[in-house]
Amino acid sequence: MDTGASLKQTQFDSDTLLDQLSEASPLEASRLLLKTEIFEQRNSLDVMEQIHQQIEQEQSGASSIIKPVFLSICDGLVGIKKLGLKEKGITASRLVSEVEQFDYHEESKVEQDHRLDKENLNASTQANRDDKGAYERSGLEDKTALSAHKQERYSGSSQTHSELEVNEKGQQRRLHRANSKRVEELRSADKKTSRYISNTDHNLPLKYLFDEYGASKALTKEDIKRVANLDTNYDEISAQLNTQKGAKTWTEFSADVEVKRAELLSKQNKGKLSKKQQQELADLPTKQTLENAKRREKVARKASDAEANKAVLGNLTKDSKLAKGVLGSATEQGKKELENRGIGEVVLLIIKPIMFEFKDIFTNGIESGTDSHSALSSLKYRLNRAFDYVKRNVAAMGFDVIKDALLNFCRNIVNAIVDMFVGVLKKGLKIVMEGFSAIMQSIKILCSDSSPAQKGDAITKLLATTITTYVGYSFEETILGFVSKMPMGDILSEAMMVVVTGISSSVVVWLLDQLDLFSTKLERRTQRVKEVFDLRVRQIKENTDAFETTSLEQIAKQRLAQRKLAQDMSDAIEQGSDLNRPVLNMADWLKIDLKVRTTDDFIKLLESDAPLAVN
Amino acid sequence: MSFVRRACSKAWNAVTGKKYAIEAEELYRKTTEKYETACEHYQKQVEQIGKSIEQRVSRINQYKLDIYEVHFERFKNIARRLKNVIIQGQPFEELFDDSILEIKQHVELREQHELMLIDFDNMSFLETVGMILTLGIFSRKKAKESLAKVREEAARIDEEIEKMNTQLTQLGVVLKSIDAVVGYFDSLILNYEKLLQRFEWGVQSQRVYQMSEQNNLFSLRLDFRLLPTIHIEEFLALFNLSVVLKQMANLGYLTEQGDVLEADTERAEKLYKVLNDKFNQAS
Repeated sequence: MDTGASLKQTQFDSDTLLDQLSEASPLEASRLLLKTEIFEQRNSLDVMEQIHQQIEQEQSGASSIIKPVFLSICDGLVGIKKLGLKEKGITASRLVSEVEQFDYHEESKVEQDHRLDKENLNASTQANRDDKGAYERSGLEDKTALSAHKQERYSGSSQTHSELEVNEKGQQRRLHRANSKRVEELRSADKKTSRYISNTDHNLPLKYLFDEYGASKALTKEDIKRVANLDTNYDEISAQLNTQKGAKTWTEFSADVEVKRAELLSKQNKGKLSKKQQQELADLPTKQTLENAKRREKVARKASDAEANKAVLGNLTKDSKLAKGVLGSATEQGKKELENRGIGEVVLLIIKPIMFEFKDIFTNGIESGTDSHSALSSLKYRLNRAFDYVKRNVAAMGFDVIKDALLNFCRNIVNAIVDMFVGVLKKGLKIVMEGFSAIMQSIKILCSDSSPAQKGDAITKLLATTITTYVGYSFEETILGFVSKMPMGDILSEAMMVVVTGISSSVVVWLLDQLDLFSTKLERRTQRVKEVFDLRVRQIKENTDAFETTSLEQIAKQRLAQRKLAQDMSDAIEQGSDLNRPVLNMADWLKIDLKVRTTDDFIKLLESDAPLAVN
Repeated sequence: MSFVRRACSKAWNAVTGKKYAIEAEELYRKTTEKYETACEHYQKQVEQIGKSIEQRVSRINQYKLDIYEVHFERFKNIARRLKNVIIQGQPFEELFDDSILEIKQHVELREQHELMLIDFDNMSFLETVGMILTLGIFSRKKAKESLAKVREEAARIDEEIEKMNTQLTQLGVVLKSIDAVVGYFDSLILNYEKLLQRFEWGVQSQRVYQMSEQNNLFSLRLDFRLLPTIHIEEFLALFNLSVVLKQMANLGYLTEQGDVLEADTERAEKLYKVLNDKFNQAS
């Protein structure tokens, strides 16, 4: 942390004081000591004000958002596949931040990358998809079960009621078999029969279930067929509604119907409805019908998912090949990740000290801090220093990469198993999987030494950025669809997801910073104020000690010297020996300039007519 | 019941931020105590050291006066048998001013109301309602800000206390230094007196000797050419030592503030004139 040179207490220079005391007369010592400034003569409130201003400048300002956004765009450019840097975890923002914070005294650390984690997880999920070939309706349809359901609905009668359809009055629609007497009558009267003929519909369409469950390696076509033909997935409805619905789920169909209804009603209100459209509006299923259908869909989905997951569990425990397949795919994925990550980290480890040396050379000159006096030896020193750093950190870095790879390997195994399941259970497990790294990091933060507010802030930001990244990827198709229509869209689309997730994460962090939910800004300010004043107090103490020691030592020396000179003088007076020398010594010691230093000079003075002047 | 009340009160304080305000008030109280104790100690010590320094300064002033009024006068009296002596300059009486003991740029502990941005005990009805409706978001923010301000003030006051300790150390060192100066005066004046004694004895004995040689009982002046070298050396030593003492008497030791003692100079000049006239008449 930069406490700012202007905020520091100046260090007391005892050598200067010693020089001053030695050069001055001992008679001036008191005044000199009184004048000495042991601490900076500056108002402590001004110091505090300056810290507040510094913190405000750091925390506010557009720069805090512009830089990460700009770097996110650079990340996008670096993320172009042909360069192959993205897969290795090398991004512009990471490179800049690592180079900016580089210090030879600090160990190199492998940082977590949410985007890379997500992409690796996506790749793992993609690899876990099973290929069951093209969809064939005949392979999934169970005609016996269908006819059993129909049989049960009619139970010997010539007519039945639709399981879903009701009219505006809430009355159920009456339905008949295609070969019933009533239908024959209608046909001969040349009337439309589709409203009265009954069909047995798969509530969750077969194609939909094939696509949904077919991706699971733990489900066979037979399993899917069984699940798709559960009684809960059958509805006896009119042929008209069945045709209208087609291969859509009820949820999709309902949404389409509502759009269509709104469109036709709007035309009707404007009086622009044609006869055909009037008929179309009348043929649309009622709202109640759609509600019934969606309710049935929920029941059908719940039953299908439960049955499918039961089958997954059964197959997983019975089929050893499946377990081997999971391990194999996780190992394959892990190897790829390890290779990419390892190369990326080694590249970063080498680039960091080299960039630092370049920056230092341009900022401070090639010889600065190298203890060398020639450009060549300085360059050699710098290269050696960088090489030593790489050597020193490569093992630790390797350990971190392997540790991460092992963790990812475990995650990939779990992911492969999760991918075998279907429905809500799969979605729930997926959320846990995708938040795995964030959860691990949150635990790390919770165990750190930070204050509760800082922990809260860090975890909020971590979760927010993780969620932002995942939300960004959930709109991947929309974003990429839009970008691909732009000029050079095919190249840009590769970079766009990185740019979008990077920018959105930066904006989220910036917004959280502005909101300051945990008052961490305030905490940081207080912490900075405390640090600055602690440092200043420590410096004042050190200065005082230095001042006291130097001064007392010098005073003691002066006292001793003066005592000796006075004793010499006293001895000379008592013994009647040469008196002039001790007096001269005393005057010299007191830095008093005596003009008359010899007896001859004095006699000349006595010989003159002028009186003797003591001045 | 009391447990429920305590728990509710705790929850209320946490939601509204009152707990931060309570913490801030407690810290402010402790800081005030610490600061006042430090100030009291500082004042006592400064007073004590100040008195000691003042005593030394008075003693030095007295030495300066004595040098001019007693010792230089005696020197001139003895020396005029050989040569007229004049002392230039005046003794400098140093004025001791308490302000030299004060710390510059000392900023006292700020008042509690300057630091506390919210007072939960004196809230109006509207403020309380506002606080409840906003779920204490703003009151909590203000309380946290108050706590931060008090914490920062406590850190700042630590510096002020340290500055006071430093000032005491500095004054202690100055006292030792000025004490040393007193010692210099003491020993130099003692030697000056001894030398004067010796020189006076030499001059008197030479006076007797020269009077007997020249059969001139009325001559008060001695011819320095007839003096033995030892007495000339004593005279030179006294002369140089007078220069030293004169310089010491003209100096200010702590500041340059002081008075030149005019009245004494005038008296010395008058005395010098009278004596000089008498010598001239006699010789």
